Amino acid sequence: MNSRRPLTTLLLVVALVLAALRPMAPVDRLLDGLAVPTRWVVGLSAPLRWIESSRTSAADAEALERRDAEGFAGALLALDLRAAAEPSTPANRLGRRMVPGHVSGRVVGRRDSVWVAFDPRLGTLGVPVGAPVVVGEAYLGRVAALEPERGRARVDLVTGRAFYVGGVHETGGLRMTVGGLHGTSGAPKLAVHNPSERRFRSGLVRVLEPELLSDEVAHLADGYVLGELSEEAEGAWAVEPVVNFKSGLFQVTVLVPVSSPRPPEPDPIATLADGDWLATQAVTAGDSFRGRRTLRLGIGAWQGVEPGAAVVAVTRLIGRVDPLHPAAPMSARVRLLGDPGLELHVMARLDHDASAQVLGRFVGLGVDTDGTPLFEWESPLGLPGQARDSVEATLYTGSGLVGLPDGLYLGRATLPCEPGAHGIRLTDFADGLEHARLWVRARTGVGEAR
Amino acid sequence: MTGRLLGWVMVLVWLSWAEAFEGWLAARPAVSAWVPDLGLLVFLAIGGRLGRKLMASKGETVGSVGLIVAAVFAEGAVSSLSTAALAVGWLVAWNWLLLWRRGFDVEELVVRPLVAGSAALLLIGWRHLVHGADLASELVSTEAGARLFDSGAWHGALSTAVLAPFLMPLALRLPGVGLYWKDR
Repeated sequence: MNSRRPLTTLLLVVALVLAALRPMAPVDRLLDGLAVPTRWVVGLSAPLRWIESSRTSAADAEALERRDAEGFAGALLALDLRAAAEPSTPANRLGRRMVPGHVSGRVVGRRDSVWVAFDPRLGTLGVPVGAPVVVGEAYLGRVAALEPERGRARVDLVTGRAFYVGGVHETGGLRMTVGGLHGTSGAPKLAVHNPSERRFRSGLVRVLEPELLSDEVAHLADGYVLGELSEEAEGAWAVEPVVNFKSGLFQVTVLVPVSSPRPPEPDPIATLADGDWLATQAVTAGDSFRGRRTLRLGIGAWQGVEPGAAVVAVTRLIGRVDPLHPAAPMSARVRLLGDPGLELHVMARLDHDASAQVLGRFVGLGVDTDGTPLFEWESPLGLPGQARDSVEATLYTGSGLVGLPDGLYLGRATLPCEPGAHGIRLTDFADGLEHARLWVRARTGVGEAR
Repeated sequence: MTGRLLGWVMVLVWLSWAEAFEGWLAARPAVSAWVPDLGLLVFLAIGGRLGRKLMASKGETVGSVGLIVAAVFAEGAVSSLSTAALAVGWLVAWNWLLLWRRGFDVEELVVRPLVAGSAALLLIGWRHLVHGADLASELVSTEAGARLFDSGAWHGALSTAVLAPFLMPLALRLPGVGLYWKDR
């Protein structure tokens, strides 16, 4: 036996182990390129799909029947949240123009910065660097950089370590600087620096930039809410934010001066009708790895499929193209609802009052014995304004994850109203393994692969 | 040469079918945990036959690379794991089989369940490790990973071991498979 063979084999195994446990896109692409024949190997198991063909045809027909109602309901919810993202109090609207945008993903390497995408027909036109970003009456951060060619802005959030904004207690007098996070554990709170008085008093803290700051754009944020002032252990002060910074940022509003050259906002285009979808079909009937819920699409990177892209059966989301690995050249792995670790951003329409709610991040926990997808929902703020233990709701996708547009139907669920981590069962959902005709998001918006 | 190539193609076909059928069964949550690793049984059955004379005289087998590549392609067609993760899994399974072959006749009735069950456990452990690393890199809840471990992964290894004495001899009789190891 060649004495070098064991060493070569060992080195090969070590390299492959590293590539498996620490995925690197170039290595993944190379190995997927070598494994291109799997695309044809998939075809060998096609008869297993044929067994299911009558069931999948029926599921596809039902999905088509629901198309108009569900597509309209999802688009309407997105519009409602967009309207809710605009400030409503006259004082916070006066002297400002509102530019709607949606969070299209976190900035890679900067946990406290997000990409905010604007209507592609106007892009960043008339949006200045430094413009405040808000949701409703709540202050989020400011525009730090623009990428006009991609129609997006990088927004630094007030939770960032190097972020500072002037604040004032609602009763006046007590001024402070707010920015960064207070402590590292528990619910995130904003740190308070250099208060003008030492006497604590509870109440709301609003933005009030220092008069020395002559920049007109910065003062557009004055009056917006930072949160509730609280006294922490060892006498330190913090501000409890009124929004879920971790995963509850979907629709936002950028404040620009009334003199901005930006034209009036055009009517938004519904996600399902924007033409950025590729028709395809599943080529597998399940995953050989027990406990996982995945399938393979018959198209891949060469056809424009990108990691994280949403996959729908007409109007209903069935899963996302694996966001952690590049799509193979001629096929793509899709993580279905019920796949452990699948991450979604979710918004809801509550049954009892028809209100629109941002729920935040759902993480897949697998499926129940009857195939019901289970999710973990971390709800730092609970469902505000709900005087009951739980509410029934219809769930839709929210924006903020690459390739996942908002307004896609997910299913029905019972939502606990208390803050905390909850287990959620999703019912009346679309099982990707029961559909033959699928559509995949062709372009991952203006975000980046995670 | 043509015979061996045809044999390799047939090995690929049967491995693909085994993996696809396994995936099809595993998609049913009620039985998912108990689905045996059919692809592994075909792999071990053929691997146990490769280079038997050479193994006895020089400790060598031939045709192993082709078998591993076929297994990676077959599982890659229906698995959520990356090609690198699949390659490591089948390399580990192959070397595990080689270890057994050094001390035992792996085609013995009582040895087959031990080889298949232990190899299935190794593969399951490796797949969970890779998925756990994915979840960690994704910064998602570790509960998702924990739940996957709790899902009775050992059930699959047990059913693989129990079925090994029956299914592995059948795998060797699949049409065209014999061409891969004969005349080597």
